[in-house]
Amino acid sequence: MKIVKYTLLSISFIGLVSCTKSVEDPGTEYAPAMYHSRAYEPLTQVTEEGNDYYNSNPNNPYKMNMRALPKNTIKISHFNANYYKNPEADLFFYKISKDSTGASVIATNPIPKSEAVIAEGKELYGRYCQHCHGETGKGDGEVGKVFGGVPNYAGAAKDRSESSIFYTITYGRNRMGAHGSQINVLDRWKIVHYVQTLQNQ
Amino acid sequence: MFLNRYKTFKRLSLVTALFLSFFAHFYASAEDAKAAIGDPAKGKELFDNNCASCHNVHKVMVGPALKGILERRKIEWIIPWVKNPAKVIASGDPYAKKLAADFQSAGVMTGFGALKDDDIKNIMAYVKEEETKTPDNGGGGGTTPKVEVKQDTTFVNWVLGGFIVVLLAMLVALLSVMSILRKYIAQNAASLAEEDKYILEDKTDWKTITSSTGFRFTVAFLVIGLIGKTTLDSLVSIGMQQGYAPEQPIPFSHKLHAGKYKIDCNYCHTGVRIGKHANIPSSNICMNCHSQIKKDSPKLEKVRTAYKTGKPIEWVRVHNLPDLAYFNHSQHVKVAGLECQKCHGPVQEMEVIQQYAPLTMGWCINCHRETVVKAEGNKYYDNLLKLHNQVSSDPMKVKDIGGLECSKCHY
Repeated sequence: MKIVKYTLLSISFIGLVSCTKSVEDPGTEYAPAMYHSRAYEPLTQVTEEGNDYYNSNPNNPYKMNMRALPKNTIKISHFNANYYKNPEADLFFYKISKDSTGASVIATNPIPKSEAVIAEGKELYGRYCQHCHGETGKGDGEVGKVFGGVPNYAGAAKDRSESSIFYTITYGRNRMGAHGSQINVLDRWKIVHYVQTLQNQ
Repeated sequence: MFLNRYKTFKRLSLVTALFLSFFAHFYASAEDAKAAIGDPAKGKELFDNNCASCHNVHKVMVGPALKGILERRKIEWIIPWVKNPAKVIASGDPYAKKLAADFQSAGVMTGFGALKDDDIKNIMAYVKEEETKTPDNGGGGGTTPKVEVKQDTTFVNWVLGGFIVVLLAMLVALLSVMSILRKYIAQNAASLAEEDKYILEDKTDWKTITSSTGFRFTVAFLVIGLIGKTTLDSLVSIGMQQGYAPEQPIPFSHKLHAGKYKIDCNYCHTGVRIGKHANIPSSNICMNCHSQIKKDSPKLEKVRTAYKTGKPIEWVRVHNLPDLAYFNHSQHVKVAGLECQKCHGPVQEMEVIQQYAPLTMGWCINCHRETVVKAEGNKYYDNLLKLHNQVSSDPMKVKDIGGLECSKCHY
């Protein structure tokens, strides 16, 4: 009898000690109100009304806490950027729309070409372009091979103008999607500089 | 007589006909080659540089598949089309008009006025050569890149488990051999020498052992120690979500996207260098690739719906710092130049994303104690560095410029 008792005891003891948390369980939160902000926060959204941590904005579409900027908003820092010497160039980006075809828009790169800018452009190219367009712009990136239709910069796209490259990054072209939401205006012009070096390699 | 001649003639004519068909065949193929075929090797280079971005031989991409083009169209039609498609459409050519209508969404094909007639013939030669080959399922003709897979720890666990089983089996075997031997000796007790008698009397007195203070103390120590450790562990894990890997609404694999396809973290997590949050990509970023890749996959249905309606996908949040602590991604990634993997672990090997670091205060502080500030090329640190170097010969670490101050993160 005693043996049974001890066996049961030790089994339950081992069971207690060997418990582990499931990966689905975030665990106990200390002061949960600190983890679930009731103020509007990006990247969290509790939409059920009556929930203790309800933090959605009912005035936004789908009760989102983040919103896209109103159309035609001009970023104030674009006016103050050192690169922009004249207001015409300053506003260039806002003047082209998706409907303007790449070739019909003519603009010059407001950022002066320099070694440093090309190096920066190369870094940005590595982040945003390389997986499709490939390291040397041949269209042979890992994604590009599967995606298809990626041009060779030094081939079919050799004569593409800088404004056309800028337009393509912003609004996309043929199969390529619009990347304007990911890359800011100045960075796009830096990428243009680097793409031009790849065109002429 | 006549019969013989007739037969001779018949033979002769047959032979002639045979020869004729033979030559005709050769002539025709020679003529064929003259008309359409150029140099496929030169054509391949031209095709890759000019056409491959929109055309594939076997499948429709931006423009139509070129397989069988020479059967559908004559070279006399193809040359002006390649040089100036808009002009051919404007001339009212019915085939060109139909093409333009079928591929309306792609727009009119770019004219390649710089290509010479021979260049276009070379390209056609390449297409003709290529169309006899079987299509490559990969799409772009590249080989599938291989991913290095880290060895799974389950293997080690199995080996250890195996050892334990083997050792247990050995123990049982030894004990049973001992008891059999003991029984055998007991049967022949009479023949035992005097000094070996103790073997029979050697019986462990369990009762004395279990009732001894030492034994009881040891057991009590072990039980209390283990219970204490379990309790402490679970207390420490409060507010610590290390290893949390919830199921997400879409089975997105970082291993595939960041590992195999080498897409940079910044491509999707666009906020990481400019703001507090790294950001979860919006569906338009997914659709930059998935407009073409796996565009009918049911797993991507939620992405397509989100893209169409603008209703965001509700991912399950994994990393969540409490509001009492302030953390800014751009400070760490852009200014300090840390790799994402420093805190997020080998994300490029994770099938399901999980919290890698404990994200506790001790963990933050420890890194601030050890990390040297990346001050070169950053004017903000110039004066701080000068002052630091006046009083210390050690490199300037985060702790030296207030990285341990409470109010740096709690305010």
